[in-house]
Amino acid sequence: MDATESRLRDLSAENRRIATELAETREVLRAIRRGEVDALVSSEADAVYAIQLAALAVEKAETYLESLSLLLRQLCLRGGWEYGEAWSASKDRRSLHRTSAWYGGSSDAIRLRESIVRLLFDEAPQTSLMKTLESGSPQWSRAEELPAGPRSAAIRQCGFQTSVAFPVMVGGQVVAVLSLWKKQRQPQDDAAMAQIAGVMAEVAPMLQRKRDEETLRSTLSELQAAVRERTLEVARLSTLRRRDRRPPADARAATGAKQPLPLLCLPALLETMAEGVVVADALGQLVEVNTAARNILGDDPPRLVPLDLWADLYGLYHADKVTRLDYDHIPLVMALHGATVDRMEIFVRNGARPEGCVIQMSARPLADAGARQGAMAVFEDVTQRKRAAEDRLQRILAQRDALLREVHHRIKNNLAAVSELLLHHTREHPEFRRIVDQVQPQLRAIATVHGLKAGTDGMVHLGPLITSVSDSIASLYGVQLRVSLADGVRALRLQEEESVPLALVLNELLVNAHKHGGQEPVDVDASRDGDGVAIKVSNTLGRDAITPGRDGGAGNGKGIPLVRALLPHGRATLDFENTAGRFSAIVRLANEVFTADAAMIGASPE
Amino acid sequence: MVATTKPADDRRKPPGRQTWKLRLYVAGQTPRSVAAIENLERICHEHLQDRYEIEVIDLLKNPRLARDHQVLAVPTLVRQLPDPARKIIGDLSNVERVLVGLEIRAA
Repeated sequence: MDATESRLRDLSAENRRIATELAETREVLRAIRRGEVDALVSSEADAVYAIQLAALAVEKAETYLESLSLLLRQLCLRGGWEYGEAWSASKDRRSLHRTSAWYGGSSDAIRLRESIVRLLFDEAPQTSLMKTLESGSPQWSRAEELPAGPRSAAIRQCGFQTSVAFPVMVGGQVVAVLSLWKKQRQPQDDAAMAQIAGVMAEVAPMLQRKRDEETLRSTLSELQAAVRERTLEVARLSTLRRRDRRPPADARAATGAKQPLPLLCLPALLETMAEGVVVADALGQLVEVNTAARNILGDDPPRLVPLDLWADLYGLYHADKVTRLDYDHIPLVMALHGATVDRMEIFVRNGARPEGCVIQMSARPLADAGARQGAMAVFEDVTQRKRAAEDRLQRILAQRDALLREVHHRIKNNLAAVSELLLHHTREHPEFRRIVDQVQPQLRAIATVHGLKAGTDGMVHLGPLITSVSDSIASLYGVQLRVSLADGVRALRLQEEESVPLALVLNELLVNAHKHGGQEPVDVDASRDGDGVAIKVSNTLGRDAITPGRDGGAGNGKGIPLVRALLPHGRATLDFENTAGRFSAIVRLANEVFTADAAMIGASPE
Repeated sequence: MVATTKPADDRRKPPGRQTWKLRLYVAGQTPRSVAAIENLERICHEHLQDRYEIEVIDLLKNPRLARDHQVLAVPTLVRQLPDPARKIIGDLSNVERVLVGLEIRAA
């Protein structure tokens, strides 16, 4: 009975253990599906465990040799090997050379490594390694089988007796051979060999990938170095070619020809110049490019660029900074054709000067006794100078605008003062009252225009002008006004010379409407009229209404003739309507009364 | 790699007052290992304040510990205290799952 209970307890415990393991396994599978797991670690299956750890070690390494070292460490630790070293196969797979990757797990192993590293000769791999390279299968060997030599002696001296050579296979080819040593062969070593084979099958592609990456990196470095070397060589040859074209000083001395001092100074002079200097021969080949020219053009690295490549290579544009400079428009080319170019502005933008710069280039043909020898161009970077000039101009314009606004402001104030003075005088001289009443709104209309010109942009817009003059009349006479401005006319800007006359025109029409209209409010409407604008001032007719329609279209006062006289000649009309008890004066302004940009805005669909 | 030591026999304390003893198994400095360490420290700091102790075991350095502790995959977090032991597999990026798995929060 006790035995049975004991057996039941054991089975229950076993069931619980299995249930726990099952739950854990399920959890592992779920974690794998979520991608939250690095590697599986099986305490039950050592081989899998070894593969995972070796793979992790190789993946962790930064270089191919480091990955070999880490792999050797893993294999030695698991298989009880004390010493391991890696041999790399040549490209033709016919020879092996020892790498710096190794592992030593004992003092004897470290001593062996030190002895091997000190060896200058006898570095030929042992026979088992070569057999492994040829066959692709592991090879056992014993120390006593090694051929005599310092390497064999060192191995024996450190007490190592047994070794195995293990291939690292990629795509069916041996890329490396690992040599592992221990002092005594163990019975379990054969089983360990199978395990290592499993590890290597998994890890070898990773090793090869590391090696390929390194090869690629190395190739890239070599190519970059080669490009640098070529560039320097081209620059050096270019300099030599230019020098060769000059008669050497020794040759001149030998022929007795004396070089004039100014010519001797020429190369030094060109190099010390702040301006870029480029000289081309009659065939268009560049024979001189000084350092300043290279710096200005952003020639990095310095090259002797043929003229026909200048526009593309240096990024040459016309002064508008958009249009690419044609070959025929390069000043030096023009000079080669006999033209003289003075201070032509060219915009330069290229990789070395991404922000761009403006250069001024002058060019002259070079002739000797009438025969054309070539051409020369001199240029300088004027970006800073141009920027400073533009800044100065902007400052001057800003000062001028401020001054102008101040002048308009003062005129407006003075006109207001004049208006007040006139009113003051009418108290003492009532006989002038009628004239002053007529002049005062006119003064206020003119003051309104100057007030608008004293605004931020110094321009008079149609909308504010109509509103301001209307407000002025409303406040002066206490008349009710209804102003309506269509969106398209509000922002139209009047030509400079038309603003004061138009203000006076509006003033007269509104005063007339007030004087001769009824009690109803005066309406002021401004709207588009074809390309132009129509301003309509309308009112109901009062008891004493004297309208232009009744007296032949001109009225009997002086207001309407004044309006006609003030209207822009040939660009405006004045019409009257008298319908349904309402009298309207309509001023039609042509598009030309407004500034060009305003007219363009006005022409856009609303 | 990381260890905070807390004295006293925590098994006798009520669960709310116990120091939590946690062991995290990783393999080297892989992104998931680093993430697991950072996530665990953040979760413990936020939910256990100063009542925790973390031990990080790198299986690349001590491979045999995995076999001794029945670790099937890395990263794996083992709650050693309070009893009973609990295991959470993965990089601990899902905070809710960790809190429920460690029984800091009811499922």
